Amino acid sequence: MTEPPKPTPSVQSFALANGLRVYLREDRRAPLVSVQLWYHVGSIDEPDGHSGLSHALEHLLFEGSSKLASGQYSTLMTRLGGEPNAFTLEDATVFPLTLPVSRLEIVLEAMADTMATATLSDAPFARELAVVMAERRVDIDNNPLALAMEQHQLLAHGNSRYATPVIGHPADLHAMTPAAARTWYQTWYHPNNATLSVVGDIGLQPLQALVARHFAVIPAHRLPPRQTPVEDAELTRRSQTVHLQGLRPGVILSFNLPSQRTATSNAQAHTLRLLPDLLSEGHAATLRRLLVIDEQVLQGLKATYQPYRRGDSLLTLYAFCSAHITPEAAADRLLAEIERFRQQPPSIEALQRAKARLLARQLFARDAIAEQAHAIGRQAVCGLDPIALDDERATLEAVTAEQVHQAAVAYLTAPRTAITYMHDKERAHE
Amino acid sequence: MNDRISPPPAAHGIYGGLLSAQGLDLQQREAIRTKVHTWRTDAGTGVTFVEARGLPIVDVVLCFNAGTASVDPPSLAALTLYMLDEGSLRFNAAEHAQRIERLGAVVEKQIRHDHATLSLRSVSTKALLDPAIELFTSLAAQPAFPAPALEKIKRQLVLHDAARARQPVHRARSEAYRHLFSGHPYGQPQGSTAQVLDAVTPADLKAFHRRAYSATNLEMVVVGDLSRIEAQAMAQRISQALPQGWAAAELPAAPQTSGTTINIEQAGAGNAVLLALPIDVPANDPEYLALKLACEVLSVGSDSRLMKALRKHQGLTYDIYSQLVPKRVGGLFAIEWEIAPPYVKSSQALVEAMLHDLVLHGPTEDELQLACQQLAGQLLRTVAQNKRLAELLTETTQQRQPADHLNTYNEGLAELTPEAVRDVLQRRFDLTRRVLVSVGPAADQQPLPASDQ
Repeated sequence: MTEPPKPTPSVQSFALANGLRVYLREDRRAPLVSVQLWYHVGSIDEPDGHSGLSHALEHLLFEGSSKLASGQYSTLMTRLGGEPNAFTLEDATVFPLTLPVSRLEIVLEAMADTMATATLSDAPFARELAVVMAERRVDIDNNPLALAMEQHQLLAHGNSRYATPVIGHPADLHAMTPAAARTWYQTWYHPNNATLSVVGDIGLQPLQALVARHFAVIPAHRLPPRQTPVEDAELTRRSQTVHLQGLRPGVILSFNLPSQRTATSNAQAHTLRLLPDLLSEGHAATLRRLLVIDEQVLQGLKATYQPYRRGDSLLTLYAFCSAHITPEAAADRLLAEIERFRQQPPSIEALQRAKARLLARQLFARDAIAEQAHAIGRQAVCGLDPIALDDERATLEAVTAEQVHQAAVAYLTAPRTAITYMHDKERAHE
Repeated sequence: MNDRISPPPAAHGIYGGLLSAQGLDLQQREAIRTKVHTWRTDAGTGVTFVEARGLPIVDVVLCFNAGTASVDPPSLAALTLYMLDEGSLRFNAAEHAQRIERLGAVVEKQIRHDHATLSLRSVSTKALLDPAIELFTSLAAQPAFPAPALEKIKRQLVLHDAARARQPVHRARSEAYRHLFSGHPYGQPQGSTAQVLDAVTPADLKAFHRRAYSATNLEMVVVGDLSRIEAQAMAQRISQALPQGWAAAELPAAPQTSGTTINIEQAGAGNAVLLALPIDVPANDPEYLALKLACEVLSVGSDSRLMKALRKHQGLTYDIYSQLVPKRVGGLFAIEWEIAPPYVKSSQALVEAMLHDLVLHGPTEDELQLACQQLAGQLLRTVAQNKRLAELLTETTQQRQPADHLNTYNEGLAELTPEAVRDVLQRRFDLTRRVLVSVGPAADQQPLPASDQ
């Protein structure tokens, strides 16, 4: 197979004395820049009873700071040609913006201002908490599959903090106070707990000058100690059944896997990333070909693996059943085929195909500067080095069939399995 | 640390206290300079091409006038599209998938009322692109439609459509279409039932494909790392391989419907709510831009009137947004939101009143300016990405926009005054024809809680 040409830009980096780490990938295709401030705090850092706190704080951050009145940030960013947005993950709280590079400094000044002086007053708290509850209602509570997935995360992650839903448990949301949000801000929103990821039409030196001008005055702050959330020490095969009205019958199946951060070696880390394409992604993937296309036990199948986490991760398969196939029967067939996959190394053709797909996707992701900045931020908050992104390609190409086999033997095991059988409540009495 | 802060400086205007924004001229915009080439192949396919050399990627979009409104039953159009990668005259489905996936190429399919769209994304290196185009062409031009695969796709489609019909947002949309396009192909139920599908045979698919997937019934968009000469050769190859010489018939005009309210009761945690108006303004009509701006002012983005009324003042919803959906004939303007069951009626009344107010008085100068800036930013971000540019060009080609449409779009918007927008709204929006839909659990209806600001 002919190797596609490597895109040239690589990632550069610097840090301010206060600990703010900055990454830049120059991309001169358009007069735009994507600038993303990643705070290294997310749902895995939340103590019991305070789930959803990072996400709630994300909602409150632009409700006023020393230079900006409540709501002014989003209006101004829209006027500047950006689309104001923010999101919270298990590992991070993120404020991204893509806009004309000529306006970069204004964004940096606004972001620095909210890092140091967000007001977090009581007045908007109740309203934003209501918005968060409305968000939960539409995204989770009114969506049976999302509810099943939330249940499944609890089962699969067990005592790991990754079990915590990012948006928060309803009871915790009801009990949340403005004081808790302020404490969370004062604990985590510091330059030494943040990464600025920038991709676009700017060089390192001008960026350095702008970042220093606005962020250098913010002092570093001592951070509380924290632990890496790892999988439970004694894993055993777990299963549960959920009956929900309107839930499409199927199964969610997870295996506890290390992340890129917690994998035993760099080679192993990249091997794990090939599993979804080997198993189920694309029409030629083993399980899809067999169970969806040939046997037709399943109507749909998808596998995901999140490589970028501070702690341990999951490989998760989502499957919908064909008519007259029970979730239990579907899970048995899936597990039997995964066991067969585990018995021997994949064929050279299958491995080449999985690598080609993953590598092409990484190239395709270069199309969007926001996606590039996202990948850099995501690696940084997990404690990985985004500068190593340039070596990814060679490492992925070097993965052998035997390494896949070893990873499958080690990780696709019964004790690492968590299964959620999904039943439609209405059809349960048939 | 918060006690050091002085009160927010409301007096600073739109820049607050940001020093770096002083002296900034917001009217100064990055110009859009996307060089769009258009031509027609010998076989009669319209081609739109943009050369983009920044990355070794090529995007190809084939947009056939082969949507669900072009045939009866509508499911025949969906089945034909979904069956394309179930094997061609050259390779069976497994061989085909194996070959194209080894190239890293990605094929996507999408069915709508007006179109069936097939897209290919490939690495531009010749050794990868050439075989990818060849496989993509045989998929579009020479499908085998094997009978066993058809039975499988039918079963998948029935379950897929049933699951979709249960999602409140989709249910609400399909109710709006059913009413606004009653008796018209757009108003036909989109869900496929086993009964309807049973009657469809491979011969039906072959006959439909021979007509609807012909070179003359296609608009092609190519964006990426290739020259115009190379793009011409590629387009020629694809269009020559397709069936020849057929174009979809014109659709009947949209019906005249009157206003109505539809409430569908369904278990759940909240209600999906929708307000739709029929519109009869093609996207290439000069007055369409005024409607686009009004749509932004009313309910696109966090500063829109409805976001302020429902989310920012009362925290009643996570999101409320509207869109204009121009179609081959007619179209609609729809506002969608989600709300707790007791507030369905009161939120509908509020939205309706605010829509009425916008039509009556028009937007303010400041609102128009913000809407122009919002749309300009969005366009700049869109044309900067090959894939999104290809999608946008597919849309504008279907809308029969002129070749310089993207480069003149911002100027066209900026010329509009509040009065002009109001006049167009008053002539083009008929509020007596509005349809209100809600899907979700029933509850005792309550007035909206008092605003906190």
